Amino acid sequence: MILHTIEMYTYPVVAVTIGWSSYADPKYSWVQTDMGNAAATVVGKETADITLEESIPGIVSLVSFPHEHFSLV
Amino acid sequence: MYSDMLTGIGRALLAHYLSQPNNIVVAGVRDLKHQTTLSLSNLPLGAGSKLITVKIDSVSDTDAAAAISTLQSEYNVSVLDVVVANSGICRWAPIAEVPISELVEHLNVNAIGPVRLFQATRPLLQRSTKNPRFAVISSVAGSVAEAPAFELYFGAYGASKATINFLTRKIHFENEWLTALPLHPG
Repeated sequence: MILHTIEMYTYPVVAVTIGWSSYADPKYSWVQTDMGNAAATVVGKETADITLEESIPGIVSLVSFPHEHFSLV
Repeated sequence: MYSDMLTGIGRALLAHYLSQPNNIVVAGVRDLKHQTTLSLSNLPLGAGSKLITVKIDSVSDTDAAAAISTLQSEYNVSVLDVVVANSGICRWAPIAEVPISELVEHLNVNAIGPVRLFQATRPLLQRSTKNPRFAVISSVAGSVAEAPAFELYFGAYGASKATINFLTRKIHFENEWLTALPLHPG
């Protein structure tokens, strides 16, 4: 599961680090959707590195978290 | 409730929640008769779960409100616990060359569309007793701080995501009863 909240959130949710030749940090990676794969080809990759199966649990875990689990700046 | 559920992350989210028990999942789609929309009915259902499809085009000023009206009158849905704004577009061009109409379209679909959805769903979210959430599938491409990290020509897309990031944060703080958050689905 790899997922980031956007920069305003301090709660860390990065779970996995992946290999990404040009953009080593997973927050610069994309999911294997039409849009994500198109972006990947621009940086010389065949597809985005992250599968939907890897991404969806992260989204679900955040969307389903109880309100009090979020720590906001 | 999820907007634009036809492919990719939208469809995968829809499939996940439908596979769980006792969920009423509402899919917002642009064309109720599109083959991909019709195929949603083939997704596996958890016990007691149900799929409802409603027409929502992100650029329509009336679709989201009409969909909420339909949910209440035809399906007796009066409460929403989670709303995910998922629809979006991305085209590539340097800012120096991007047609202004394309820049406006990105802002309309990616930033104003979720606000239309929020305004329409807000009364039903407010009735939730389960810590209601309004999530926007955004992108790190909309991070002002991270902009130097991307040598990519997605200015229109990034600007629209920066806009919705800000708007979602404002939604969060203007509605104390609601958790609103933008997500980068990396």
